[in-house]
Amino acid sequence: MTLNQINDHFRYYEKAVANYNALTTLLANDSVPEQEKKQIEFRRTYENNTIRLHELFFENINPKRILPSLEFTDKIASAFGNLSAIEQDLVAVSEAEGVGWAGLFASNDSVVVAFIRGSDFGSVSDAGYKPLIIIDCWEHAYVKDFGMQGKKEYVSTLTKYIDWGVVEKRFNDIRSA
Amino acid sequence: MHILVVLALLSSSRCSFHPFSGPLKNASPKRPVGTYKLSPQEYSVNETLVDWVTKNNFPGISNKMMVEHVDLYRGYVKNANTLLANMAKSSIDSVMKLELGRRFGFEANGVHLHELFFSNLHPSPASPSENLVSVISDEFGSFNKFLERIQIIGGTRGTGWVTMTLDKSLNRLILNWVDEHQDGQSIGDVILAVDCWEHAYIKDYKSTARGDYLQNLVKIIDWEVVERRLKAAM
Repeated sequence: MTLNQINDHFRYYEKAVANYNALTTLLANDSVPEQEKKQIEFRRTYENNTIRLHELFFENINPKRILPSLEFTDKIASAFGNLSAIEQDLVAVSEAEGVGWAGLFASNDSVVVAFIRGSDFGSVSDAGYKPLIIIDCWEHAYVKDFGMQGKKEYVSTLTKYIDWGVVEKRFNDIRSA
Repeated sequence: MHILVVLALLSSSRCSFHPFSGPLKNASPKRPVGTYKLSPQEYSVNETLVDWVTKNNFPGISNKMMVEHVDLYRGYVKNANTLLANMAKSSIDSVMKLELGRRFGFEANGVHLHELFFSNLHPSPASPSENLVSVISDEFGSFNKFLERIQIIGGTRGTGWVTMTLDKSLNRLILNWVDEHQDGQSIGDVILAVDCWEHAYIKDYKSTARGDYLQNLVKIIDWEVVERRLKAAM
């Protein structure tokens, strides 16, 4: 991935933060009618999800390939077979139509690979799943480098740069909570 | 006397009752229906349209990006046909068929909206006719306010389209946001389609610069095509 692509992605994330702050200011304005406030809340949740998902994404990629401990590999990868199987599943779910986020998620008793449509983080978190791996599959994440039809190649490439150390820490935090 | 006055008022007023609000009169379950037939086709790439957008230079959209955009459109045609074929297969599980049906709206509308979009672009469009300006101004205040409104709605968070449709039950032009290709479509003939997916601008603009793309886009809308669609829909 080029610096051009990555820097543009950071600017996108920064805009989401600016949007969230602007909406928070708007909500504090008493002269905004109640019905409009509901719509602003909806939009602010959207921006908040965008921010959180981007942070999770940037945190879990590393130019160096970081592998997990054997203990983690036994626990998690055994549910899928091996780490490669998880990587392949991430590529498979990213083929879903539209834009969103491919990810590995864990609940108290299960681990799944799933696709979040749009920015609907609630679709997994409401079901009790917390993120272990998050990969941005919106077009802004890959079109500059991989072209409009390059999503599969992009996700395949990115799975080689997952920081499994971060993934393992997230898993341990979920277990100890 | 009062009753007669009320009845007279009712008959002379321009009430816009829904055509199906009253009981059906003279309905006959045995009413004969003439035979008719459909000639079903598959989706196909409109190569004339492809030539139009790839062999002309559209200010604000690089040729390189346009060529890639056309390839994406070809993908939608292929996917829509694949889904049509799979949905017809008896060997596919019924639950899968339902989910293929869900996806079909996405792919099929992807085909239609891209065709509508490509065909309402012009490298150097003529100014809109006085009649079109007047009709649009009636709804949006002025033509410039209408162009601003396209750009404002085009900035909606998410990925999708700005479409303008003619709602015949209201006799109004409806300009609204469509999520992806299929969520939030207003019912009516599409008069104008503007692609606001990131793929439509991100090779030429920064990811945060959809506004710049739209500012240029409204300058290359073919108002003759828009007017032709409106007249056909009326």
